[in-house]
Amino acid sequence: MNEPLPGCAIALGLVAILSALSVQAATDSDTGYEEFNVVTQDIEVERSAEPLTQYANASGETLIKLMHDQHQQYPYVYEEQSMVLIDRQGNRETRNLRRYSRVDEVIDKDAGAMQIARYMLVFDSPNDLKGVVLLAEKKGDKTSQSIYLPAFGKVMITNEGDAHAENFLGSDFSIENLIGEDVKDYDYRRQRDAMVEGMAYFIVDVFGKSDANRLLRRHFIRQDNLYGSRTDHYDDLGRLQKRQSNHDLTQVIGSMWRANMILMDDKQTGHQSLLKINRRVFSADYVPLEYFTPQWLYQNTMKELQYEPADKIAPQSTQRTSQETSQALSIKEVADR
Amino acid sequence: MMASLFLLGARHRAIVTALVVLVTLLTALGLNDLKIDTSFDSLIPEDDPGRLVYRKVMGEFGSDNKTIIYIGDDELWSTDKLSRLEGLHTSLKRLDHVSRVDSLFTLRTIEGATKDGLPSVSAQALISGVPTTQLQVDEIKRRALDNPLYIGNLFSADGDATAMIVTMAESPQDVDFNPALYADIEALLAEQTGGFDKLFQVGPPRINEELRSSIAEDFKLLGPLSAMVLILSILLFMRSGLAALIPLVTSALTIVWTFGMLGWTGVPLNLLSAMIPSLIIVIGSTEDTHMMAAFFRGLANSDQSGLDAIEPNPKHRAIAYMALHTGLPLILTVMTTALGFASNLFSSIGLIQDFAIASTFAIVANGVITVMVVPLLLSQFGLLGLNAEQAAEKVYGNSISNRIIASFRVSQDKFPLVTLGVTAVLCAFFTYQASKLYVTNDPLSYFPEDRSLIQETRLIHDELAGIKVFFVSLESAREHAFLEPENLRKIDDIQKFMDKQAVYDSTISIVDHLEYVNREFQGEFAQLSLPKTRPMVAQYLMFFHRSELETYVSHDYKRANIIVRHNITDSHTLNKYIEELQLAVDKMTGPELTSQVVGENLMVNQAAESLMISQIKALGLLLVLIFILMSIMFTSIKGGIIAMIPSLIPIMLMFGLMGFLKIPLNPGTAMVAVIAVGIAIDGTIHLLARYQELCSVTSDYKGAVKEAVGEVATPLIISSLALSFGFGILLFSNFMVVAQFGALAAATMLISIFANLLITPIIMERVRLVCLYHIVALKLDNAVLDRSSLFKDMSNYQRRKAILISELHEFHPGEQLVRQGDTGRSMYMILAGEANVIRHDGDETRVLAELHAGEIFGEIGYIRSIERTADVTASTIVTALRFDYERMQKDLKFFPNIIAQMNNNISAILGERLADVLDEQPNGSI
Repeated sequence: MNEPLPGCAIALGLVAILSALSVQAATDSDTGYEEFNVVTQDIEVERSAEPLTQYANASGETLIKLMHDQHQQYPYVYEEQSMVLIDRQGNRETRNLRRYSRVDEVIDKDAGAMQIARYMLVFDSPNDLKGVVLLAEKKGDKTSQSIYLPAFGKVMITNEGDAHAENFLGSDFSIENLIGEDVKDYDYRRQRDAMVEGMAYFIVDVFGKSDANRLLRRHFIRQDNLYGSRTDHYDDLGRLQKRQSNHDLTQVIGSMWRANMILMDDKQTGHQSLLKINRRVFSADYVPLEYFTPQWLYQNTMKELQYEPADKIAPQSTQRTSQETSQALSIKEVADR
Repeated sequence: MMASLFLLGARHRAIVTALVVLVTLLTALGLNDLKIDTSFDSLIPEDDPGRLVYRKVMGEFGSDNKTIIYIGDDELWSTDKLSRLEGLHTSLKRLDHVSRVDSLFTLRTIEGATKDGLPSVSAQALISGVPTTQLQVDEIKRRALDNPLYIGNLFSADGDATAMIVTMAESPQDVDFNPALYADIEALLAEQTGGFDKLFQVGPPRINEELRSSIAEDFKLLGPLSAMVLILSILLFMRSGLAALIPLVTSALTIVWTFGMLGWTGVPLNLLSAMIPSLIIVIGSTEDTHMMAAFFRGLANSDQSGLDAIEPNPKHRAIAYMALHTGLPLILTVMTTALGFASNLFSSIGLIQDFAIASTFAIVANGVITVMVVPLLLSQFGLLGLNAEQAAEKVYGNSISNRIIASFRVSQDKFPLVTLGVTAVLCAFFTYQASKLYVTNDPLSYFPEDRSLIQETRLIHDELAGIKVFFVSLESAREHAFLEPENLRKIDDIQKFMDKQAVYDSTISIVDHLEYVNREFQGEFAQLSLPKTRPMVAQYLMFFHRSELETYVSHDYKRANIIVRHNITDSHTLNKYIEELQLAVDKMTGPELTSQVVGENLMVNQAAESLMISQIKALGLLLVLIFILMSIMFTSIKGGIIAMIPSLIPIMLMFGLMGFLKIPLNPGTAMVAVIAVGIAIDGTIHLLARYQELCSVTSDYKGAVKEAVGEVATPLIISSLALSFGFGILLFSNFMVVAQFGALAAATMLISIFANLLITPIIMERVRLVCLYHIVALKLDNAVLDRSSLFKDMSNYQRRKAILISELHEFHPGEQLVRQGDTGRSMYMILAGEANVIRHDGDETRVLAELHAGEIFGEIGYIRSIERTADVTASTIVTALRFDYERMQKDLKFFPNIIAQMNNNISAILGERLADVLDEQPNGSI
């Protein structure tokens, strides 16, 4: 009875390996590289990179999901930002704002378990824009936006605009740039890995569901940390229209990285928008749910706020960023203006 | 000296030919480098202070260099048409040198609505992708036509027309840039042929391209046409092939030299340069005509010209005769014509300056070539089978000119004062009409009304807004000034004022954007109105990307811009409204804001004013120079004034005609006066020069006038008619300015016939002229003059002038100066040679005396009319002055000082003679 055992073991082992491979193959809807022959300018690829063994067969969609999962999923983030708008002559306009985001899990009676992601931008300066708020909510597949203009009156104005639409509130960013793209809305195709400026990248092209031939953008995802540090946006002629580049990358929590400076460079108009994160706090206390209500907005956005965390527990991550503009901003609640 | 200069070509044919060929080849090498300048920059004076402001505003708010593509179709709003438009839009974006294309595919709208009782706003692209259903198309149309920013700019009111606005990238220095872009766009539009009812482009590339192609067409058409007209008119009048050939040869050489020089020196061609070949052919031929007339005259009078000593060869003798009689007028004509063209250098407009350089060089070169080549050709080809009488007949036997002169003579003889009076009244009337002249400098006015470019420009003006743009630029010292509603209201007030002026097609500013957004936010029943607070303004502006606003307001809101589109082509009208606008803007903005009204087309139109001023200066200077020149030439201010009359009359009549017919002063017509003066003076110089030659041998001034007119009339009429036909050719030009120039110049040439042959002779009879050249050239033995008591106490100049005022006669050996027994009241002085005083008493003849240079005889006869007591016969060639008592008294009023001194000296001589006689023969006399 001993002699058949080794043979069986080997056979079983082979079966196991083959099965594993089959499962792997079945899991990935598309494997390997797809070269998409599109007329694009300005790829600046120095040379192809050797694919990392770990992700050698990962699809584009897989890489994007990995990127989002690793870096975008912290549910409570508060940021103090400076947005610098630079026109083609180099003139600058600076706006200071606060960004609040939180993701909550809810149970919808029809849809079941789902996430509600809320985003809020509150402008603090210049004075004429103080108190302007953009409120966005992504519930399942649906995104809604509203705007509060203090000068207009105490009313939330629904923004029916397209989330993909560019030039949000006068900047070169779209709402989607600010709140992130929804993977389900796009097709992703992985291109050959590349070396750019000495860094190895995964290259993933993004196509719309409605037009499989129209390249919308190209993500450059760092192979070392799976962080998307560059995105090239293309126009309907396949020409480079805008480039978003993320700088001053910092490892914030675990393997999560964040950029402290995001530059959107419109190659066709010569305009640039630079977003600098001056302070980032990962804490639920900084993004309470009540902040995302009109009533709170009407009462508070014109004021300078002082926070005292309700639970008195130190936030999970507090970070001072962006040396150029960093200051210890203490938010004080002052009397009504 | 003149004869030697002209005989160069005849005597040294090989050398002169080689020299001419060499220069021609050298200059021809420059032809490859010829450039054409059609830029609007050449229409703006270099020193225009508006340039700096213009560049600053353009730098801040972007260029006004845009091409509009007009698309008109009754079915514009359909899926098929929109799909075609999208393809066109995409193709345009792909073009090199295009930085931006604005069309319905790049427009964003901000639309307000109420949803669930709450306001909503949608800021989004007008079109996202080509619509696939008519319902979608209709919705897009509704949104587009609801936007007040777009109606009248990008869409017509009824929506049946739309525009794509192509903004060019930073324009390179390459002059081929615009034509290349025009061609690229045309190729794209051609692909859409049949796809739309109307589809065309208008803008600086097209205008430049049309200017270039029209200039090229003019070059190809006008020069050959002028040559043909020249040949025909010379053949008609002179019936001589040689007479037609010679001007063509000299013109061809001049054209090569001129354009070669332009190529070498980098002076560009422009729309005015296209008439230079015609001018060369026409103007050059006039002098050639005069010269050939003199040549034929010289051949006919070869034996009597007295030039045997200089040239034994009859043709060379005729050339010498030609030189003597036309050499000086030729040089003077070249000088005055060149001065006429050169005076345009006064203009600060590059277009006119470049033309002035080219045309002045052409005239001078033509003069040089004429002097070198015409004698060469005449000596080579001579009569071509005709004899001298036949040749002369061609010049003098012209019945047309004889009939014209005959009709003039009736007025001159019977009604001289009436003729002068009528002329004076006409001049006064037309001078008054000239006060209504207005100036225009708009490039689009250069093209005729029926040109497709003009018609299409008008269509855009009718359905959208005019293609011409200027800015009203406001500036504050404070940042964010134009976020303040108060300052925005000022912009609004300015726009309302411009609406009241009702001459502009559209005005658009930051105010329009704010009013639009405010209306959308306020709800469906709201009207266009400004937001009331500064924060509201700032918050509304967040809905626009900076690139949408940068044309209207600076990044720091210190400066604001109102973009004005219009279609005014008349500089005078535009300048008037702009002046009114500037005053109103200054008043409305108050002390806190500074304002400027700027635009390239404004500078071009305002340059019209400098056009007028520079032409007045040029004309004034030219007239002064010609006056001085003529006064020096005829050694008399009266001579200068008389020489001006035939030039002034055509100018007054021409400007008056322009005022009467509402023909504007533009870069073409403004030059007519100076050029016409420079040319018309040619006939006057010939006429006056011949008159003064005749006056030196006769005291019958009236007869001298008639003879001078008779001799000069035919070539003058021929040349004036040829000039007017030649200028008339310019009516075929593609450019209104050139055609108007041609028509007016032609009319001026015709008027100059009347001035020279009808008016001037009436005045000439009443004056006596002496030519400076002849004074200088007079060969005299100064020792003789020094000894002569007739010229006592007179300077050398006065002596020479006195000699030329008098009658200067030459006698051959054996010829009698006076005859015994004749009655006469004249006295003689021998300047050179020897004569014998011979008395005949019956059969006896004796020589009473030998007279030498400086001696006087017949002085008793000067005092009272008596019979001559002896013959005076020349024993050698004698040059003698004859002093006729009555003529001397008549000339007293023209040259009082000289005549008075001479009368004094004659009195002294007579007194001395009487004393001598009393001493020698107390009871007798000679």
